[in-house]
Amino acid sequence: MLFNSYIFLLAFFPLSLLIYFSLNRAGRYKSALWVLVAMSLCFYAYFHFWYLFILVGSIVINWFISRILVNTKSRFVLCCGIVLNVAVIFVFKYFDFFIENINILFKSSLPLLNILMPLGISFFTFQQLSYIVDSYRGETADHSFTEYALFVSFFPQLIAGPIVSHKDMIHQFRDPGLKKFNGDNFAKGLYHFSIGLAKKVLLADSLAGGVNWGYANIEKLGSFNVLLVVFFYSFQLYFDFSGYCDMAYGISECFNLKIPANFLSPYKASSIGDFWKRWHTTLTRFLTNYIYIPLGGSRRGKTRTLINIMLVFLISGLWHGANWTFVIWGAMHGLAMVLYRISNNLWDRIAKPIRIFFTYLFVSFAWIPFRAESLGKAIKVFSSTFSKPDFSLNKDFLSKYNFLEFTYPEEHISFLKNIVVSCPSVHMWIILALSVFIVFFTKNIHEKEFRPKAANALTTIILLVWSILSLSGMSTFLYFNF
Amino acid sequence: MTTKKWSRIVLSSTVVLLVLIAAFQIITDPFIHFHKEFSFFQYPLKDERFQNDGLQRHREYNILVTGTSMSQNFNTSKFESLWGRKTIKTCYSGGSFYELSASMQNAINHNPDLEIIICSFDPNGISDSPEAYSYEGIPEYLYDNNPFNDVNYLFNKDAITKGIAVLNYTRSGQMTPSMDLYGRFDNYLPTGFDAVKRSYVRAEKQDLSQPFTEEAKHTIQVNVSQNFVELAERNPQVTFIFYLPPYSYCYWDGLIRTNQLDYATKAIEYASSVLTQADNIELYSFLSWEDVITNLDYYSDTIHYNGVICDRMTESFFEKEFLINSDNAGSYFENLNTFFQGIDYSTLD
Repeated sequence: MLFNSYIFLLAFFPLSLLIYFSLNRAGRYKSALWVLVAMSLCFYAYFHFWYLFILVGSIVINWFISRILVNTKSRFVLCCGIVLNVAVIFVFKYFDFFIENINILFKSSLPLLNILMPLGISFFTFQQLSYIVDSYRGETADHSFTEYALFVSFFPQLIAGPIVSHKDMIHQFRDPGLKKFNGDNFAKGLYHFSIGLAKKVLLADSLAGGVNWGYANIEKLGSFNVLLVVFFYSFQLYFDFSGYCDMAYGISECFNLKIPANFLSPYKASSIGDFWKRWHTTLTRFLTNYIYIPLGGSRRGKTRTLINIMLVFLISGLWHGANWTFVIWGAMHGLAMVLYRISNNLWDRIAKPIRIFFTYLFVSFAWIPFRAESLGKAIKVFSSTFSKPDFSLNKDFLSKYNFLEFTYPEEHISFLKNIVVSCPSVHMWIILALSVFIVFFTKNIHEKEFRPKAANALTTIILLVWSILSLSGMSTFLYFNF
Repeated sequence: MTTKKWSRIVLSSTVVLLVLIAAFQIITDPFIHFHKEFSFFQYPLKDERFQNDGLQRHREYNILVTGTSMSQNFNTSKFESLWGRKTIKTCYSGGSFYELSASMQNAINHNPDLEIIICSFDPNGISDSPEAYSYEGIPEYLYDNNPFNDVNYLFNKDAITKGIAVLNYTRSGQMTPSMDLYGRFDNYLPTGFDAVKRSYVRAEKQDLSQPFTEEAKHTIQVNVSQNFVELAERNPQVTFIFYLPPYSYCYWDGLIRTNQLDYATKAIEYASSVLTQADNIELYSFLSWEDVITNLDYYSDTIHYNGVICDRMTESFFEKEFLINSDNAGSYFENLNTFFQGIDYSTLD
């Protein structure tokens, strides 16, 4: 189930809130937690029923491992736990990629598994890995199974993060002060949720049309169009991830629970290091605590530090997807981070707006391999950006931005129609300008305090209704001219 | 403002707005999904894949004309005058056999009075995957009987503009188009040699041909029997009239130049033999209708013909002309390849 779906918005979310707070109101706190676990499992099963068994199996097995670790502090059991989790993620996510490379390298034809990857496996595996490590450290002794199961499966963060730590969540599950419905939190949550929903549905999904078309037809596009596709993808990804994080944060707030902020206006970053403190911050936290520091962090000399940084970013790349494109993306960020480290603050002496601009430029270009389905495609996009000097705008690309919100009023108001006739690219420029304004000049939900006012009530109503009405559309079935 | 008041305003306003929108959609019902067309509204019938199911559900009819764009220029009034039966037309431009089959089954389910279905049997669709739509985004929520997924229609900004269009259409004094006009394109697309040549570029001659393999035969067998033969066998009370449409000679010229004619004629012959296995299926072939297919005045591109041809086909169905049966099928398909080879294509140079 997606947050941006009718079933979630009109049934699942209101029903979950109602049942959870009704049970809490009746003093049945434990049942309320169990209901939240059950609802989270339903949420997960909606995608693919059989993968529910993988999630449940993973939760149960990791719980037993953590209990053994709490009692025995056995390094062997810890290693077994880590290997088991890595093995599960390897089989489901990386096995085919591994075999494909073996086949290429040794010209063999080993069969692929071709299995569908369980959604969110990277997230719930990482979360549980961190949990068993912390159990070995003796930090999880007094947790109950219900608390653990909810910490892993809590639906707002289950499929796309943030990667939460038990330290973020379990004390909240226990707090009696958070059991009662709280109007302040609900209002805040609803406001944040509506902003996230609008980012996802109205912006990210709208930008996707041109980007998808651009990547599929890159050979038809001149450099200027390709550049626009690259920037539009950077905004699409921004709104997609930011929207998801805002929605997850908002839903949790409605339950009186606070999940960690995961997205802090990353395109306002003034360096690549700053970017990673703002983009997917909980992944950075995980990689720092469970990979970079155990590797020695910055304590073993400069060269080792730089190697550790590179390693962490390569792992981060692989974590995002089983394809060389992701490895290249991770390597680009790792290299940029290494260069930043060895520049001895040279970078920081440049004027801040210039640093922000070039950091954004780098991040946007690094998204090319992230988005491309193959390295060959990524190279084609890179080369098309520079090799085909052409400033004319492709009509098909522009048509992807002819949204109903533009075309419907234009059909009825001649003044607006005249504008489009004289400047056919106006829709695309409006979308671009709006994206730039939101990304660079507005505050993230974590950067401003919510105060109930008529203006933000109206904004919430409009965004909710507009987003719900945009979840479904009418496809056009073009067949010649008919 | 207190947060309690804020939440109350936001929630109640959102719910009220959504209820009003849903009510508006149910009343105007531009896709004729929830109820019969209201006499006080006029409906612009312009979105075939969204309105076909509604028309099949709520109109009264005994004959259904369906198929791809090959069927769009049929005059239902011609069927009514010849057969004396009420007729509707619901076509699916570029539709696969799978989509057409599902639509025909839906029509039969909706309407126990249905007696005859006329459907195109496009050579272009014969080798398609047996369980695939030709397009993404087919509004299946309109075709099924699940009331819950109707939210896709109720809360759909594109569909809402169609509801507004019903009001504007009615207010402007326009009338719901007749079935003759529904989906029709020959009233706005030019026909003739120049029109066809605009969309047809003669391909370079190719030597490599496509063999008609057992695998290809299997795909055709499954596609035709699963979608059409089984449909006919499930519904013996309905007569199914399929027709192989008269593609213009430009189309066949293209196949000859790309060395695909042999494959195409074998595929058509095999598909036809599979299709005619059901007793309640009649197959008509207009493929070799020489005076028509070589006269581009009837065509807007290489395959799409106008309503004049559709009327003549309607008469043929009635008089059982061009019918392929067990007596003539062998010789007809045997000569088909030679027939296309024998056409004079020099005018296309």
